[in-house]
Amino acid sequence: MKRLAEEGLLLAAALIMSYIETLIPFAAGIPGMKLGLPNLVVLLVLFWDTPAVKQHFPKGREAAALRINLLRILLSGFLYGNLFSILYSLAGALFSFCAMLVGQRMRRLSALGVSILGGIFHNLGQLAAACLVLGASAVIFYAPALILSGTLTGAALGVVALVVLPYRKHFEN
Amino acid sequence: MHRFLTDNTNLKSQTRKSILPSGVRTGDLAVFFGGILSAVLLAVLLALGSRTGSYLQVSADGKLLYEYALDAGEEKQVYLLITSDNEASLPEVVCTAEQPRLSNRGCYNLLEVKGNTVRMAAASCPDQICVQHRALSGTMESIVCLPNKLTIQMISTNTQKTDTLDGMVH
Repeated sequence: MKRLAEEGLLLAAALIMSYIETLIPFAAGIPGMKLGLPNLVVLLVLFWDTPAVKQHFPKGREAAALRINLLRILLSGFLYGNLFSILYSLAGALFSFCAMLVGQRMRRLSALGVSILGGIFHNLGQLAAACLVLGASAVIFYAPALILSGTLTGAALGVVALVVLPYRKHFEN
Repeated sequence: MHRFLTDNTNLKSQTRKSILPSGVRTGDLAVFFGGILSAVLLAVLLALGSRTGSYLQVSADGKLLYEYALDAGEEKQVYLLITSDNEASLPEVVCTAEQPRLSNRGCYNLLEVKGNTVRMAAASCPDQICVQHRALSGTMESIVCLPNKLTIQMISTNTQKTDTLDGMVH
């Protein structure tokens, strides 16, 4: 029951991030370019490795992070987008999640590096989906801008995660 | 026991000496600069390979829909209106010298061609990202409208379906 409440709270936080993201114009002519604020929640769940949190998520925080991410995409997709934007978001989220799982297991990477990896691979995933739908020849020219924006937004979110993570001890009880 | 303690304090002072802000590890910097470097490298490669476009290609759903011969000396604007009534049918392209009226159009994208540059002047898509994109001028760039599944790009030599102002429809 507690796990359900915990995940519901995190899902709500991610959904609010999605909403804030729709309020901030950022794309500058490149489809798929976005801040990636909801990824902050995924990042925090992945790195929130305290005993109490482990107890809340007995089957692993990774599974919880993936569940929250997928549900968030479905909900925000129907609220602020359409079926096609859900397809692109899903491709981006799955690419990004796999990259972050690999990054999380690297000892030389903190939440910052993992966040940057997530940002880059989110945009590459969307690019791959767009290549499938529209053909690679036209879409591929967006790659430099998307990689750059993924790096910068990932770094910004990673810094926020590094600042927020030390406060996890306040949630232990 | 004593040695163990001094070893431990040594370790602590070492981590404190690190020039990186707390929590940041060396791999983070590698990923950050790797991302920026690869983006810049790709952008430079694309810019080096770019040539002035002689033909404009309009594709819908990944299929080539229309090709338009660009005239670098042309001073006046030419408008290409791409419309489709429903999802199933392929969009139609209408070429006009004057800006067409857009009311009562279902799904549309309006391209403004001037000399060797093309920009998206208007579109029916909800996000309007394609309209914000800067004008195209070379072969190694494109404008994509994801909601309308439309892409435009330039090539230096034509393939088919060429149309110039001679075949203009009013």
